[in-house]
Amino acid sequence: MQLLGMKYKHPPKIIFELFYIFLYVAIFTVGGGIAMVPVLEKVLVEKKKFLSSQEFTEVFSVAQILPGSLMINMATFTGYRIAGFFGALFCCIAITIPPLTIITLIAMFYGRFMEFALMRKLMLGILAGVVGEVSGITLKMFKKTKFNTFKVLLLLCSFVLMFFVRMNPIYVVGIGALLGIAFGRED
Amino acid sequence: MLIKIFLEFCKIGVIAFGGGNAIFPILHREIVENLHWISEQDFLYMVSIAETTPGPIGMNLSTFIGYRLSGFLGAVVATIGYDFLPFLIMLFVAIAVVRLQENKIYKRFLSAVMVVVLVLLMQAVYLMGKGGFHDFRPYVLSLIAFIAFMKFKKLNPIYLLIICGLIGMICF
Repeated sequence: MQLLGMKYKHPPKIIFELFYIFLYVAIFTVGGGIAMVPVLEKVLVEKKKFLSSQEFTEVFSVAQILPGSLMINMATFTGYRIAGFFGALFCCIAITIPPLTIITLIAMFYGRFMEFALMRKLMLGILAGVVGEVSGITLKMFKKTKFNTFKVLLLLCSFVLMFFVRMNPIYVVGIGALLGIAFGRED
Repeated sequence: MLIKIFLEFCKIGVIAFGGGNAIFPILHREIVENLHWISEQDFLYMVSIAETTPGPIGMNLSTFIGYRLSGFLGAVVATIGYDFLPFLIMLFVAIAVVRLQENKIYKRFLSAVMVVVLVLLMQAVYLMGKGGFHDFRPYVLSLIAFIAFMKFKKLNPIYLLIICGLIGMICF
C-alpha cells in the first residue's frame, strides 16, 4: 500500500468520489484543460480537503510543465497523490468519458449540430465564466506566493519572455527551473 | 488501421505540451499535411466543434478524428492513445515526486516553477480572451464572474459556469 503512494486508508470510497468529481469537472471544461483548475481547487482543497493548497499548487505546476495535455496530467497526478495507482487510473478514465460520448454523438449527427447558434452562445458564456475564474485562481495563487527578490525578478523576466518575446512556454519553464535550482531558496 | 491510429495519437499526446491551443498546429501537420487522413476543410470544421464543446480540446479533436477514420472503435482508440503516454509519464513523475518531497533541489526547482506557472496562467487567460471574445460583452461577463468567484467563497464554481452559460445564451 505504501508503495502505491496512498494518502488515505479507505481508497475504494475515495476513488469512487474522485471518479465522480473528475467526471463532472470534465463536462464543464470549456476552452482547454486550464478551465478545470479553479473548480478542482474549490472541490479538492476547500470542500473535501483531499489536498492542501500548497500541494494543489505543486500538482498543478508539475502537471503544467510535463508533456501531454494538462487535463490528463492533472487527473493522473491528483489521483495518484490522493489514492495511489487506481486513483490515477480512474481519474483518467473519468475525464475521458464525457468528451468521448459527446464528440461521438456529434460525429454521428454530423452537420446538424452547428446550426444550434444557441449552443455556441452557451459555450461562449461558459468560456467567459472560465476566464473570470482562472483570473481569480491566478490572483489567489499570487497572494499565497512568498515573494523574495529572486522570485520577483523571475516573475518579471518570464512575463517579458512570454508576452513580448513570445518564447515557447516550455523554454521559459526550463530556464526558470534551472535558475531556481541555481539561485533559488527552498521555502 | 486501428493500430496505426493508436500509435499516431500516442505520438501526438506526448508532443502536445501545455494542451489546448498548442495542439492545433501539431495535429494539423501530422494528420492533414503528412498523413492526409482528413481534408483541410474537415479539420477546420472539427476544430470549431472541439472548441465549442465541453471537454479538453485536444481530446475532443482526437476523438473526432478517430471517429471519422474508423467509427466508434477508432474514436476510442484515438482517445486512449492520446491519454496513454502522458498518463504513464505523469505516473512515474508522481511516484518520484512522492519520494523527493524533502529533497532540497526539488524544493528549489518547485518554488521557481510555481512562479513561472503564474505567468503561464496569465497567458492562458489572455489567449482565451483573445481567441474567443469578439466584442465587449464577454469581457464584462468575465469581470462579473471574477468578482463573484472571489467574493462568494461558498459558491460552487460549476454553478457559476452554468449561470454564465445561461447569461451568454440570453445576452450574446
